[in-house]
Amino acid sequence: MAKCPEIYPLLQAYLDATLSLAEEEALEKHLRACLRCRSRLVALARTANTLRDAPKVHATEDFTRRLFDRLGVERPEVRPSLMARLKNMLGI
Amino acid sequence: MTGAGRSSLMDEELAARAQAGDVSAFADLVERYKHRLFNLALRMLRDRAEAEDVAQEAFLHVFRALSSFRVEEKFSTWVYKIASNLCIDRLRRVKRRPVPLADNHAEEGGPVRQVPDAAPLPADLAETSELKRNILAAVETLPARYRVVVVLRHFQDLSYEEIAQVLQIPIGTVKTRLFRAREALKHKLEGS
Repeated sequence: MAKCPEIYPLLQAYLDATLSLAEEEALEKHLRACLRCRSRLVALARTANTLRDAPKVHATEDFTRRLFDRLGVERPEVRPSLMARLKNMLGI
Repeated sequence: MTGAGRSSLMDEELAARAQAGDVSAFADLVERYKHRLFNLALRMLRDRAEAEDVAQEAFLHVFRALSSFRVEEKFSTWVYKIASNLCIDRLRRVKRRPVPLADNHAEEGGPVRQVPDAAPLPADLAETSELKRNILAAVETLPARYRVVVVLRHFQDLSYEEIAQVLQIPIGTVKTRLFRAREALKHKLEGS
């Protein structure tokens, strides 16, 4: 069976689902037998999930207007998206 | 073409129209990318005003360089490349200022944040668990070349290949930086 130091680099690629089938099988075989590598994988996965779930922030409302001011180009008439119009209608 | 009709077009089709002088097509691209570029810049630079400025600069650059965009290239890759370069340039300039960035100290377990504007953003504070706040703060302490890879992978959901194209580095380097960065983040979180 593969040794832990050989497994470490694979854990990260495993998280990103970029291992070959054979590598995945070897890794999973190791994980079933090795608590330390399992905990390591869990900790890495937690880190990656937390990063993925970090809140997305939005640019300010007048971002586009200011951009077109800076460009010195007249901003084309923007018809709000269907979703925006619905939200507006429903007051949400 | 109406806004609704254009919404089904691919980025590259919009870019081709923008190249031909269709300002509405450019405006559509701005709508598609403004939040993404702002997020990228914010996670790189930490400061909202500066992030918004860089996101705007990126679009200014895109607009002016539209003629050099090759339609066979992916538009997203091109835009991210421009925005990432602007962020990294700005960080280099910040580094020359007397206020130190926290990179080295934080690696050694020193204070995580030393820059005044590195305080957690209000939106983050309101809705984020402590773990999330910690991880965002930890990302901010990574050296720029590692941080940009984490931001593109996890906040922008780019693949290794796309990141390699954006940063113009080999895929192997993307992996190495990403793996090291995540390892460092894991350590920081476990140590806290």
